[in-house]
Amino acid sequence: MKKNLVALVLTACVVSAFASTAVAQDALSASPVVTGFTTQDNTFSEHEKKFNFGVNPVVLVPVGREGLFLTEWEFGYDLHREDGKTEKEFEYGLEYLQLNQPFSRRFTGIFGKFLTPGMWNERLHPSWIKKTSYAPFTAGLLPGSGTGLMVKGALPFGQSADLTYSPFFTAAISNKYFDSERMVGGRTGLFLKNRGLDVGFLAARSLQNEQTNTYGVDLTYQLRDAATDLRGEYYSSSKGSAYWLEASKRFKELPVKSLRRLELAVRYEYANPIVTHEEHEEAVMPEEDEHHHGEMDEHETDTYADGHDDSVVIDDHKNDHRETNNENGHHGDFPEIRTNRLIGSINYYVRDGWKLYLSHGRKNTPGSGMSDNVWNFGLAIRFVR
Amino acid sequence: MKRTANLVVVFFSSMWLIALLTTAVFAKDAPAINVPGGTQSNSGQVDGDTVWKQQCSRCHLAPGAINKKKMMTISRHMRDVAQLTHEDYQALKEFLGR
Repeated sequence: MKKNLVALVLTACVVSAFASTAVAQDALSASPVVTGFTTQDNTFSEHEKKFNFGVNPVVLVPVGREGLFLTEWEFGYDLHREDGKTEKEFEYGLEYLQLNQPFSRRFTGIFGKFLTPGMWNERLHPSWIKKTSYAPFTAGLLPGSGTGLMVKGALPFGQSADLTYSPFFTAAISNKYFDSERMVGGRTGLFLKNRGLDVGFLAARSLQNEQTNTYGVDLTYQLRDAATDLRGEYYSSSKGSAYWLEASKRFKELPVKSLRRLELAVRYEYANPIVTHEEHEEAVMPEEDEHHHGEMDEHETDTYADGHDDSVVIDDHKNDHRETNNENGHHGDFPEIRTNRLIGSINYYVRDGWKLYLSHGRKNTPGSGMSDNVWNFGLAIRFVR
Repeated sequence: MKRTANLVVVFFSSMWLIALLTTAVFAKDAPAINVPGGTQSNSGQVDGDTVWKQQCSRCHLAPGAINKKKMMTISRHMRDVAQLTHEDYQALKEFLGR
């Protein structure tokens, strides 16, 4: 509790210090901004009803000529009813708190807690920007944030292409707000500006515990004349692999002006987890006694020693659609069993930053015949003050 | 007691939603930034309007009216989120600051 208070006080002090510095040094060109987004989301399925209200305030404070201090917090209230039981939960946390300081034309240093590189994680996850209301499975394969150092930049190739890069290092920190895993990695991308095509490659290595690697590829293709966006990501890690493909289309050519704000989006995604024998047995026999768990622990050790060849891919029909907890600041969950999901969404942009949405998602476990239909609607608003 | 608390939360949240919807439907669109036209940056090579169309529109529409000083701060944020080149960033700043 004391640590949390100290962290909050320190944060407030840093914000105040930077704010005063900014006002003193850069009053003529930039001023502090309070922005962010708020979301009201409702989820309905056969077994559960979920009502969520969330606010993500973002504070931007200019520092010096080109520096920027920024922080985003997340507050959410959940009212959740499943199988006749009602639960409510208030959650809050720190998304990022960082100082961005350019030290040349091509390099900007980022210090503090930041979002780890990735097309969806960095750019698309805010509720007023994303096209469908669910986080993709890939978001559960790499921590969404970390505390450390990142260098970002872009190198132009003429006027038609940019090479972007963002190597990073994060430290192992156990703290409610600055929780972080020791990791090194980066993303590099090639953006063909005239064609609207962006291809990125990501690699990260966890430097604690098992020292595992994560690889990723992402693609964005903007067909500007057709007002259509195609996006996708593929990630692979020791937990498994996942991909998603998404198409979204706006109707700017329609004669009725109000209908031009309509957007249709479709996303298909697939997760193929790699699960150890122990996890397999736990998933199949969740009520086993402790003695049995002890035996499985020994087996587990052998499995790791032998590498991934001994692992088992689960597609057991007895499993339900359990998902992992949202740990280590992940922006999404990764399923424990092989799962695919098809989502269709209708978005209506009342104005920029005001998005009404209605979506339907159908999640399947291949081979089991099990499926889950989820309806989802809500409102997302971006605000600037 | 719990049921009452839940009802209160649901009621106020519903009211909030209705209020937002009403505002959204009846609010006039704020004047958008003057996107069409474009400008030439100091270098004479990069057009701020083009940068907007190529970079910013990948994720969102043109924002409503925002104070220029605040827009300069937001530009710094977007410089790092969208990983703009120095040339594109300068052109965008000039374009948004007009």
